[in-house]
Amino acid sequence: MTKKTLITDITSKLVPLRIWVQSAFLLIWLDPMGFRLHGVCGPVFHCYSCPLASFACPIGVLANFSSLHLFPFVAVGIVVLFAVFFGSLLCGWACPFGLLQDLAAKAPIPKFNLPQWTGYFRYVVLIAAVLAIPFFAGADHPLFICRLCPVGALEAAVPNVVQQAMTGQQIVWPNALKITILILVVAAMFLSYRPWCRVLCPLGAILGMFNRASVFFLRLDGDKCNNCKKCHNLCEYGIEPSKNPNSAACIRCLECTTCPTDALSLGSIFEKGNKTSDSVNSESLTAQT
Amino acid sequence: MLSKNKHIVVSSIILLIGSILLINGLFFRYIKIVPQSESNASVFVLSEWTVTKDTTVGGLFRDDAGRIKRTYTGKSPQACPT
Repeated sequence: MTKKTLITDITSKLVPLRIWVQSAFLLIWLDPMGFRLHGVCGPVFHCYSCPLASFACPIGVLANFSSLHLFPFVAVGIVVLFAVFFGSLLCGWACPFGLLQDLAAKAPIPKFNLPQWTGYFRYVVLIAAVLAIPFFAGADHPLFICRLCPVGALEAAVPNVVQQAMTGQQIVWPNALKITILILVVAAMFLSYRPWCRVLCPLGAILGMFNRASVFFLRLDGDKCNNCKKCHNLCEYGIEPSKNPNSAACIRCLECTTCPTDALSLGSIFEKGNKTSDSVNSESLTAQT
Repeated sequence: MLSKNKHIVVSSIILLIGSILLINGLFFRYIKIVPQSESNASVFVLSEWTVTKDTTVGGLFRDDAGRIKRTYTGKSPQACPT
């Protein structure tokens, strides 16, 4: 049986305050000190053309370097380091666009569930719009990720248009496809939980791939799990944590760790003991069913 | 499922790879850039993080000859053209 650890204690106190933690991270991404460190990437989805962006967008850098036929060692190194430490914890707790979607999802409107298979489209976006199209067709191609990205549209293009209008300059509108995608994503944000993260986000696709090998991971204690499936209901993204706690589709919001038997918790490789990472005691679960 | 020992080994290997990539990019990588005006004599090199900053404003492109060229002369653009 897994003992309660410091990490478990902290996360159990923080899970109800997740929105506030995400909001606090804005102080990092929105450059309150005006440093503009655009030579390095942040590990979250935030457009570098945003007037307040502290860091460069890792996806934008990947795409631009792909168009230049260069390998972005710094961007890939930063993403890999953050991913191997936290996996998609960054999605659930730090990403500013994730915060926006979580706030939009609080609107009292019925929500639609997106089927799990739509999550594979993230990899299509990553391979096509971020890597292949820039590599073979250059940054001027209409399907270059930055020309479509609703995050860039909302965080950069919209403030830019507003600023141009307020200062009397000629307004440069984003292209029609970008505006259309923005409208659709914003509408979807109110009608579903985190549609961008679940269906389209290429950075989430990368971070999620590291969930099984990350330093911090979701631990399932098979001795405590009574297969009640309450974690399935707690998960807003259709994942079954008791079967696949470190799914690549998971954003690690850790809502499932409010499991009534404390079977699910955030663990780390620093903890003592020789339990498996997923710690699924399949024999005890099979006996209970 | 990964056993704890395998998990530590895999995490450590990926950490090492990430660190090597980052250190190489920050301190050892330099990229040849051709200015906007056609003059091979004035080719210069930039560190990767400077190139990264330039790409965020659409300041570089790859020409037909495969050279990385600046899209501007003088002061860099304020924002990405996309």
